[in-house]
Amino acid sequence: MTDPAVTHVDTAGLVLRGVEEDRALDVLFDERRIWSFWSLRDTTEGPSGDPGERQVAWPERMVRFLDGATRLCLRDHVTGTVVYDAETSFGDGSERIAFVNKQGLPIALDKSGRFHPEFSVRSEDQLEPLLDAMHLVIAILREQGVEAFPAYGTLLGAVREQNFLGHDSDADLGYVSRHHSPVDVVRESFRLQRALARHGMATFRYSGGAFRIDVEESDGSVRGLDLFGGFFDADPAQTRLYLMGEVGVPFREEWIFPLSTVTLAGHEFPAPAEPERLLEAMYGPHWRVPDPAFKFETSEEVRKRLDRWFRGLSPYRRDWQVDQQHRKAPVDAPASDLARRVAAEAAPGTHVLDVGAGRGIDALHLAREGIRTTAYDYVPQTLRKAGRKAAREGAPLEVRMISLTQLRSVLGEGARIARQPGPRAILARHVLDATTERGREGVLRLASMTLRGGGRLYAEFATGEGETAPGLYPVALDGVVAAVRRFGGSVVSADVEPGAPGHAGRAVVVARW
Amino acid sequence: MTQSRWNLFATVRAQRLRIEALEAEVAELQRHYVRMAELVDVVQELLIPVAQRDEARIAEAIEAFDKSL
Repeated sequence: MTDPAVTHVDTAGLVLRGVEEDRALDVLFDERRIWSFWSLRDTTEGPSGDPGERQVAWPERMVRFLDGATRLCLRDHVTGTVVYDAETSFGDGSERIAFVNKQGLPIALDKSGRFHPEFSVRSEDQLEPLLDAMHLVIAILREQGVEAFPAYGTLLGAVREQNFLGHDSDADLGYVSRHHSPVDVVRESFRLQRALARHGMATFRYSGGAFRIDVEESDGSVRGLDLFGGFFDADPAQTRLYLMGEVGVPFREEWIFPLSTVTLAGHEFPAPAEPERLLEAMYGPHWRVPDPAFKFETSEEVRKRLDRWFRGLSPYRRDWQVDQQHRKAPVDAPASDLARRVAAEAAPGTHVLDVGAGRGIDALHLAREGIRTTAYDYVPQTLRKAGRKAAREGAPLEVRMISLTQLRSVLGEGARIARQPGPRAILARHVLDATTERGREGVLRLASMTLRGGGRLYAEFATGEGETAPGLYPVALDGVVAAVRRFGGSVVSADVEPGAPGHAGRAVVVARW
Repeated sequence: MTQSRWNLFATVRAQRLRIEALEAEVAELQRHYVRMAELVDVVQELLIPVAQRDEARIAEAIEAFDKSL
């Protein structure tokens, strides 16, 4: 077995030669691991086309850091063999390249390709709040009749190294429900989330079977503790264990219950009766061999089942959350024509619900006009700035979260608003075309709950064929008109403005309830 | 090709179509799981105070409901 060698490095990527087999390589900048990749799986044929020559581009998120000097080192993750080690310069910068986040904490790419402060750069006292939170969450879940244990990478670290995996960035908990139907498993997960919220914990739901608990660490950074629900299906002939979000295998109950224990960073935690069995279900038979660039290869059949049973509650959310242009866009930009129209047509005292408000440009404009406005988004961080500005100026703007794809969110908020007196209007700009069919139904359900008695929905969306702004998926006008009627509304006007050649058009539908 | 072979092909083809239709039906049913769970949850959390005609608890339940979503 020969080791590969690096023949070229630039701001685009790396070229290696002598790549004979697929190996996990760590890329270190000034002696700190930033990224890992597999020498065959993650690379393409090299520029010369010679056998064994492979090239790989820097991950997109790394590129903006690549200006300056560093000691670049490539190391075989398993054997530790160094295959490249040289002082290297990128771009015109003369300073050392520093991978740090806004708080100045060292960050590295995790296996899902996102930058996080890693466990390997955290001191023990920085980990204590996370370990305490894990104990607390497990205790609260136990009160609720559920026995949780470290899962996925956290279980792997505990069993293999009695510690967090250095290249991991979050902690995972899992549990196996005593229920056998996905409906009951989802209801139980809702109940658990409520119990944790009652203890003051901030949570965010990923799917019907999994949610995140935000844990603040001693340095002020927030780390996610993910809780994955699982269950045994009811088929007595061949019991299968399903665990969000990657497991669906034949499994025996006695491999989980009664729970045993594992040690993690000096703390004792519950574990499945035979944790090795669960690790094999999660990571395959080679789970004992470290792989910082591991990718789950969940079968199509299992993925489809988990999708249909549990998922679809937050489509596209991550795209919006990480879209810097969207998040940083100025909130004082001019309001849309449609928002101006709502302001002009609204009767005095109208409460405007801006659904899918994004940065809150329109909502802030309406509030500044003295119109009581509530701005809703499922990525509420993007609305914070508009909310702060309005508060300083005394403009009547409230910022709230709604998830249009979650029936509970729509029904709950619809009921809350319906109890309030006074006329209302909904402004829905580029939300019907930014969500799924379930989300479109959410908008119309909210309209039917809050606009009864003459309230109006003002919706604008991309329609027809062709290009759109990022994150938008054109929808058919006919479909929207039919859905308005299905939810008890009547269409007042429906106008379409064709797009430029090659671009989708723009539709404005006004409907009344 | 013999008649019985044709019959066999026709049967296999018909069964394949039937399996595809059944798979589609299963997928349709599976998609209702989350919504069903959501509905039951809303009913339990919001309608029970309504049934108890406890106005203070109704207001509290509606205000608090989205805090845990």
